[in-house]
Amino acid sequence: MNDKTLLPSGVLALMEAQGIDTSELLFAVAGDMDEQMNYISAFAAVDRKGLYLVTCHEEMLRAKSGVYSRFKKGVPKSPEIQYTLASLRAIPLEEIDKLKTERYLSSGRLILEYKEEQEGLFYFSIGKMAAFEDFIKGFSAVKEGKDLEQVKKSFHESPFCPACGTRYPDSKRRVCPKCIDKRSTAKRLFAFFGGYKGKVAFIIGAMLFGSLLSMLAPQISTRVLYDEVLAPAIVESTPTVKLLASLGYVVLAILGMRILNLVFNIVYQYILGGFLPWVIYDIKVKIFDAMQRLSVGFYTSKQTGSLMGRVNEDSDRIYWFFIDGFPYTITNLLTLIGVVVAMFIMSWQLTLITIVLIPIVVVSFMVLDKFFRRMHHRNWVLRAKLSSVVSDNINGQRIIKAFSKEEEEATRFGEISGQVMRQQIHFDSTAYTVYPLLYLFVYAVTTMIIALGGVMVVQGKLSLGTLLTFSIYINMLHRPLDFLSWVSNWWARCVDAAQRIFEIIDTESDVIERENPVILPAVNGNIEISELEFEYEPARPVIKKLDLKVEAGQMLGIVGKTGAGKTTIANLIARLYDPKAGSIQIDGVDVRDLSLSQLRENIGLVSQEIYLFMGTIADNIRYAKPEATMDEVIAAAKAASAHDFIMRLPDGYETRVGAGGQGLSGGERQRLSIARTIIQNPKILILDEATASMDTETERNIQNALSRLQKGRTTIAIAHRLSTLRDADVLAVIEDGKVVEFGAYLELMRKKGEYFKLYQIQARALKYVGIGD
Amino acid sequence: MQNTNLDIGLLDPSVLTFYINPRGFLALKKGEEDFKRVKLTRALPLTDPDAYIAVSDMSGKEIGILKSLLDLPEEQQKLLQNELSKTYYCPTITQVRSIREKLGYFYFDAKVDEVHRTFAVKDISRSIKQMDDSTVFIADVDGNRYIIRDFAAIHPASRRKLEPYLY
Repeated sequence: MNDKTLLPSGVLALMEAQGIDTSELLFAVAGDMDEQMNYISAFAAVDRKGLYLVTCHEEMLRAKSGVYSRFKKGVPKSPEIQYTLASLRAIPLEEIDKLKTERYLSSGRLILEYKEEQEGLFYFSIGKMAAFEDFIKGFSAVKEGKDLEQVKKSFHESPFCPACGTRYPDSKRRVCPKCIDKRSTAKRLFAFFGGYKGKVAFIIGAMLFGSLLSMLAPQISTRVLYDEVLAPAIVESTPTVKLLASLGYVVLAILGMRILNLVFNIVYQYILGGFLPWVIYDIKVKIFDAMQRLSVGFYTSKQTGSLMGRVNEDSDRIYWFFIDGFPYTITNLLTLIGVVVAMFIMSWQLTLITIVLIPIVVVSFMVLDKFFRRMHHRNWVLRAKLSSVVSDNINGQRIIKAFSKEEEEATRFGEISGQVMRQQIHFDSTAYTVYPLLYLFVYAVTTMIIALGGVMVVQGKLSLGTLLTFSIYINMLHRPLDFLSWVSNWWARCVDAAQRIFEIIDTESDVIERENPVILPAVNGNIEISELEFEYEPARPVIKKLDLKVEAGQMLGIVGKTGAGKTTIANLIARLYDPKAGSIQIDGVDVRDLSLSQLRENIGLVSQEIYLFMGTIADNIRYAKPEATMDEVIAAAKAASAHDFIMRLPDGYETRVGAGGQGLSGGERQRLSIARTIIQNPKILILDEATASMDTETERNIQNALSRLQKGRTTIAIAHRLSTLRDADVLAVIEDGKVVEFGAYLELMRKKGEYFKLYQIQARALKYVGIGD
Repeated sequence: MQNTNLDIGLLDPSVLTFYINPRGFLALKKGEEDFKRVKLTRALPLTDPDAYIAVSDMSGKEIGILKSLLDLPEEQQKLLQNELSKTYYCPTITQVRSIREKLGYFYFDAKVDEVHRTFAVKDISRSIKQMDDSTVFIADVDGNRYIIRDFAAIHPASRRKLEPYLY
């Protein structure tokens, strides 16, 4: 926020000391560099007389935890920082014609213009660009005597949470992670099991019971057997029949416990196997849903291989942890606790010694797990890279063959595959060396404890049965300890997978429908674009204050060089993205206020990029209107000049297209996409280089189809070839994200401006290749 | 087949005189022509920052390409290096103190140009890019770009923290 309150009191005091009346200041902006690009506290402020540029050195008087985080908190509290003046410059308002910013790679600069001369003022980090642009807006208002308060309303809001001062991760989202949700990835993962609480409780209960039985088993099978049944004194004094009966009870008890344990195991595995696939189904559906509502921008930034990996591989990883890892974790944890308690009851001295040694083993395993987790992530990254190379190769086969690059591609695959192999060998060889050494240490510790127990038996402090049971318990500790230290690795992989999944689920669509969207009774197709600004990446504008107007039923032709922003305009009208500033209105309503479904139903997009879904030709034509009758499908195909070629195919309208289906030519595919748009019957038609890659004959066919489609609709046609736009009512020439020329064909030709230049270039090019005259 | 007649508009260094204009901006005298302010663009900013430098006027029209900065007199080289260092300035991360994930955003606490800073990164697979084995770029939610010039050379503890996010 550009308010004068942004100036700390220490800085205001320094300005006062230099004779500036700070009570007259109107607003300010804080920068972080000086004119030479040195980091320093820099401030620019404005009053009705002029512009003030202040740079100060700052010193923390009372540092919080020894670190001053420049970006974490909002305005640093003045008592904590002492400012010393480095420079102060006052420039009278009449000596400034204009202020502007210049953008560099990672920085920006405030530029002063006066009498057609420019002067460079502060540099600043690119993240401060918005604040400096607001400052310039405010400055212009003061200079031109406009209503400053009105202008201030359009300033960007503070990027800091008012409650705790933490910077919003995304200033557009204004969600403070400190103040709102603190759920960790693990908690969120467990939330997927919320609907199965009863079953989860039963499973945990069964595990508890099972663990209890396994802990009691050594007591009966060893201590009771050796100390109370087979002890020499008892054997000598008890009749054989009674002794055999006692032995029989012990055997039956052991068998009974084993059978009971098995039954509980089968039941809980059965229940778990019954509901876990549902949980995974929920997760997959949630990811897929999230992916559907995300804007196009998300897909252009992600590798397809990595996205597919998230849907399938990552959710499978979660499944396997919960079907295998989770039950074993619970049983092992319970066994560990129960065994330690039982050991304490039997011999607290030996147990204490064991407990002292346990942490050493556990810590060693934990350290190793952390190490192996990192190694595992490296493996995953390399494998994802490898799968992207494979998908790249499959999608680009035609180009690879055309350029005879098969060998190079094989080498590229070989290189990454080699990296995957080396990383795997490194992982395996490290694991196979380190773990046996650790186990050797564990067994040495166990043997030492049993030796100490032997001494106690000799001294008569412990019975033989108790020592034998104790040694069984020590051995019973190995598995839980080993598993619990190792399962953290497994769990980490599961959380890693969940984190990647949540990244998709959490990604907010750049395009969100407002709560109560406007639903127009009927769409006429008037389009008005005003002051439109857009950037795909922060600080890299593609559309700059663009204005355009098309009346309902008119055809607007957009021409311009590659990269001028033509397709971006089409994407913005269809609301595949939202603008950074400015607006697009359809029939007087901002597209952001319109119902998304109504908007998309009324915009038909025919682009150079044609996608046919898996299914029949008829399915593809009726994609926008699944209930369309076969009559409608054929009528649309005829209008799109597609009917004849479809009928020549052996399976006619039932020919399967898309992945693995019938191969169609570019022109045929385009005609199908036009038929699809005809069925949709939109009021606004966007033709984005629809015939750019077609030969002249095919283009003529498609142009005829398009002319039929355009009747009664507002059409925005984007084309390289000016001949394609011969029927346009108005033409707009786009250059560097701006409209540089607008008007009817004859008007532009007479003007001999940008359109005329483009026309001449193309005419010359056609003449050169022998097409024009 | 090698085309030996490629005209990429290379500038003849012997007719160029770069200077700083009275307002502090880089300007160029090319023979008789005087460009009051020019801007420089690197063609190979990562691998060969001193080669193929495009010189343009402020309307963006390319005046020509300097094949190598080293073809200019030393004093001129310094002038251009100074200008390029400002245009291509990118804060350097020398230490990663912590990376904490909250609500799908990653909060970095790092030492940037010897100053401690915190910044937030979203969509890590898009915002953190490892260009080759050594260079890592990180872009925060505000569009600030940070660089780690030699990933292998930063402290192992920092490397360990960042490694899980390199895709």
